[in-house]
Amino acid sequence: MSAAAQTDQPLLEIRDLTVDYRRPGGSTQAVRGVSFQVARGETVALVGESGSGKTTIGRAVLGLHHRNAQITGSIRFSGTELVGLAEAGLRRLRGRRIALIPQDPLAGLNPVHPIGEQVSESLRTHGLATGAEARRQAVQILERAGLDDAANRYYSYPHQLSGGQRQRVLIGIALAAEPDLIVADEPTSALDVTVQRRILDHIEELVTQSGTSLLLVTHDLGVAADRADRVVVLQHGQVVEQLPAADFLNSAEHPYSQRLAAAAPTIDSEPLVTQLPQTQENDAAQPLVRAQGLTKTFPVSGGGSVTAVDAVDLTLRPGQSLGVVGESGSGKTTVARMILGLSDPDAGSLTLAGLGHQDYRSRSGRKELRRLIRPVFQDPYSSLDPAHSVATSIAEPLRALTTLSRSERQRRVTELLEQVHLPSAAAGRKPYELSGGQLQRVAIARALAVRPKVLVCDEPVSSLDVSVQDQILRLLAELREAEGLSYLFISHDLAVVRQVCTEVVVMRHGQVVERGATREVFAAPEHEYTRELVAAIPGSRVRQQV
Amino acid sequence: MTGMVLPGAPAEGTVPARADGLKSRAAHLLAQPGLLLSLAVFAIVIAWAVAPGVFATHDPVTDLDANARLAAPSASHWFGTDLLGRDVYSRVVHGTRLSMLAGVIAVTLSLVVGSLLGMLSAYVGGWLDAVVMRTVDVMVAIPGLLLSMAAVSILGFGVINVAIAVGIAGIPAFARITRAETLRILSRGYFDAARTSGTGHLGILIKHVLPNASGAVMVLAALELGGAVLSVAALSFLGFGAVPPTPEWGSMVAEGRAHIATAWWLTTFPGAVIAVTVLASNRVSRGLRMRQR
Amino acid sequence: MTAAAAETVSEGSPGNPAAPPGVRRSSGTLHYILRRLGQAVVVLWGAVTLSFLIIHLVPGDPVRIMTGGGEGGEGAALDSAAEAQLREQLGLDQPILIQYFDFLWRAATFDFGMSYSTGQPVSSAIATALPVTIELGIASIIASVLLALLFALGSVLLPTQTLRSGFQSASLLGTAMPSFWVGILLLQLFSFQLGWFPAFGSASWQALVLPSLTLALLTAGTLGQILTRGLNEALAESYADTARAKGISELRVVLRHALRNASLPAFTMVGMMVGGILSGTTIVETIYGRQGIGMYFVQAIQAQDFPLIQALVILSGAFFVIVTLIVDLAYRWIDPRVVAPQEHSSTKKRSTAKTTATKAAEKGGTR
Repeated sequence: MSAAAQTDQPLLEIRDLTVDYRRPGGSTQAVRGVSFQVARGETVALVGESGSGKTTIGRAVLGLHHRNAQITGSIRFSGTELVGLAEAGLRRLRGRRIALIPQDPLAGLNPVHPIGEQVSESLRTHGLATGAEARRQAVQILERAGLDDAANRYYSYPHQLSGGQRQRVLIGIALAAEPDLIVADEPTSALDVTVQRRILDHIEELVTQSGTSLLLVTHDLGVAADRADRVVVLQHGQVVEQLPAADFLNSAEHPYSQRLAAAAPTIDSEPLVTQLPQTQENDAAQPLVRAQGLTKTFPVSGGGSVTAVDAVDLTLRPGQSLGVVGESGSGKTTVARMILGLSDPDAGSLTLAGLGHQDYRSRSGRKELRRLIRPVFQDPYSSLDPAHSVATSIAEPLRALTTLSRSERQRRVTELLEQVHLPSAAAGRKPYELSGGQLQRVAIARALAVRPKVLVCDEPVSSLDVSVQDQILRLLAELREAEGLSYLFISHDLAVVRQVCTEVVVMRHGQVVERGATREVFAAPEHEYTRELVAAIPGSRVRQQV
Repeated sequence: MTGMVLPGAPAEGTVPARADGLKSRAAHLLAQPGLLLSLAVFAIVIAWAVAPGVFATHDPVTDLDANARLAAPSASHWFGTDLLGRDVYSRVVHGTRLSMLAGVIAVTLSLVVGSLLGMLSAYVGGWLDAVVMRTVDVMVAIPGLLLSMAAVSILGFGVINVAIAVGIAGIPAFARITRAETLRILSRGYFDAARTSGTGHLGILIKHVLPNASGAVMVLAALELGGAVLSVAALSFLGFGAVPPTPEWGSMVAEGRAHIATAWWLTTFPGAVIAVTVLASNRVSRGLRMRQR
Repeated sequence: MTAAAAETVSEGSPGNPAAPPGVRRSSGTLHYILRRLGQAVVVLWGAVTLSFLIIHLVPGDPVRIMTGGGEGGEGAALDSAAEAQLREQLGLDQPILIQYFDFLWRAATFDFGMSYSTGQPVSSAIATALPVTIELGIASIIASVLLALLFALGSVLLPTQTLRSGFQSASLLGTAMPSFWVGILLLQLFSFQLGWFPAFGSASWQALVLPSLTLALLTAGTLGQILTRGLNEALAESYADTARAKGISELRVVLRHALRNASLPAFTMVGMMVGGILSGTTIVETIYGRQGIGMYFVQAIQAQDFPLIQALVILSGAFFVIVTLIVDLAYRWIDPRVVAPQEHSSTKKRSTAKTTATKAAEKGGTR
């Protein structure tokens, strides 16, 4: 991926591409007059937020667009026009010369066929090998794709492999027939950062070795900046800017690219929160959350159990913003659920603003705790009842936990909407009428309604686009100062944690492996795992080079 | 969702204008001729049931046309006549009320009992869930029509008893879907949000579970209405329902059975009316399901 | 629990062997089989209990009803001595608990007493009727599966949208038509008009054609819809795109990649159809005058022959329980994914597919 192409003629040339989705009662234009090129051996990243049309373009190149999609313009692939090409002609190219690495490794493999068969099918389809020879080659391909013990895994089924391993099988399928161009559609967005990094490294290595071109479709600006030669920025189905990847995060020209780049938190964005001075007063203050030896185990179907949280100690003092970082399965969400009284600890103690966890069992204790500690959940589409209006949702804790009258509640809702920068007209709307970012603001307003002391935020921005994510993080930082809140901030995204947390706790396999002030932990991680996590943050490579 | 907003731009500060509900709904309906037709069928069936006298051309029981016994369909007898010279069309129209009433009774019974069981079963869990679900399993194990017939043998014959029997056999379907829906709702974020907001059990059931489960339950109810009409007709056909000369769709087909070699219209028309009604109810159910998404 | 599940799947180092699922497989399978067996026994016991209750829930005196005396009684149709004898034969003079345990024991030993209306032992009546119904059942299931495949493949493979939706509507029609009406229409057309097949009886193979076609037309509608939905879902899955991106033809994508996945819920549905076949045979056997289990059941209800009703309820329940047990156990061999059908399992797709099948089967069963 080092240098751009040498040959004059580009491998892929897209000109004035337009894609319309026809539906009963109208059509939507997903892509409007997009033009760009991919040279031989070049890696081009298509970046944009949801709705930008990046995925649609990727599918159109493979001719895998939806039946209802109407395509105009031109897609030339090494001299052949693909728009309007008959299905049989497309089939000869697919897999053989243009291959796909799909988004979701969990869904990308057929669950009822052995993985090896799925790889060798690529070879057999194009008559490259048959029978035992196809099997032998498939094993080699899987080895090349980085799947260990490939020979013995030939007859494994997808569900027997981990997410990363499945993604390697998909890479194998794409590479099998040694194509000229690979379309990788968000190839790692479903994976943990450390796995993501290994997979991306591997793709990069293979592509460089074989001189294959790569069209990388991604929402992750860090990934694009790190891995591509050039970046094509899309917005609302149009190309906003094309520029070398090295320039993308620092010197984009178009205001939209600039805003995108600025919104993407990276390893050295300016933090949004300031650390409290380490005074005696602060240290002596009674902690809002104090966990000691907190442990939780879950039974596994078929016997046995898994310790999801293993003797965790953590302390949240007034005014702090404590980040809990870890990959999936690290137990961070289980910690949050225990603090919120949604789950009971099996061992250890949990002190919450002077009360104990057992107070969740009494009616008055529960009321008090629910008022003091309020949650913001990950997915606002799920955490807001679709049947209720925004005002009803925000007022729910007011009704249950306070004695406010109806009109007082209404006034408070108006106040809260203003506080989270939503127009008062939003009050009467149902969740489906609002965007994800707006919904998360509603969820935050609901959390603030009863003037809590602590917000437990469980991945509050991970389901949002970067620019919206940035706004929500700024809102949280602003509210923290205005309301004197303390945060317990659960996230898998280190760059986000770095922006909004003063303290951080790193969890792995249910245990805390490192803790400290955010700045220090990130600057000089002590534990090996933390170092790996920090190194895996996308976007770090470009920054280091600059 | 048109959720993409620029950073720096009027920050998510605008909510999209409200879609014109009535207008867009009408446009949506017009785009689906099948659904429109099904709703029309429903309207006709309801009209027949409410005011059969307005639509019937003859009296269904006493109007015996001695000159036209087993007459083929004609301008004066649209669906022909039966052995006694009664007008088949008028009997079908007059039979609507009983057939549909039986269907509605059956579905209401299954819906109320089944939904309550399913919701409580999922929400309370534990032994209650186990007992309810095993009971439902037992009911499912005995094929629907046999279960209804066994219930008829206890309740006695007659259309209303048949309706109750069909309703009993329909309980498992509602119990299962409401249970599944409730479990789905309990796994959603808003259930955790409601709990942490201090809302009590009853509040959660009434404010969150009921409104969100009702969509899927109504889809099933529309589908089951067709199923119940079919089952009631089947049991009537077997002779457990209406007693002659009361007109009822299923028993009319049964009466015509003796003459299938000579008078095809006796069985064909009542049967076709049943089929069209059930088809319409299936289509409406599908329309409801689409709207839910 | 998600945390636990995620834990076992988390990648760790790339060299990690995929051992955990394999290790859990054997113990999980045994556990599942035992649990499923236990469940079947409980349901069976429930069905027997339900059938025991039938005679006790009847308002009034079952003996009077059976002998035709009715509740009001138009006088004694039978003298009181004979009534007392019947009462004793049915065990109704015993305390209820004794009756119950006696009933359980007799159910376990296939001894259902004498049929009142025929005067024969119930078990021998069933033995003569069973082959007639089995023959009809097998023929109709085969026809139904073939028809459903035709519907489903047509609805996804035909070249134009109009043809595809036409095929889909045809299968919709199958679910809406009353079985007794279809039976009569087929009789009118093929027996009386064309004279191709006999109208009544169960003697020849020709006599089997119309009844099994009647049953098949109705179940094929539901089965065809489940298959079609399954195919459409599978074709929209990411793995179908992976397959298409290899350059294979759409026909091959459907046959090799989608059909296998789509047939998993359909397989459950076929199991429920087989288990519930007696529902359909009551009507069809009555129309075509076949002396099978279904016709017996109708006659037993008409005659209020409680011993026969009870025996047939148990028989149908037992048949359903056994068939669905076999299907559920076989499922684990057909579907390589190990997870047992559970509400909270990670294979949500499949369990919802299964509920759809369950729902649809209940619908199909009532017709």
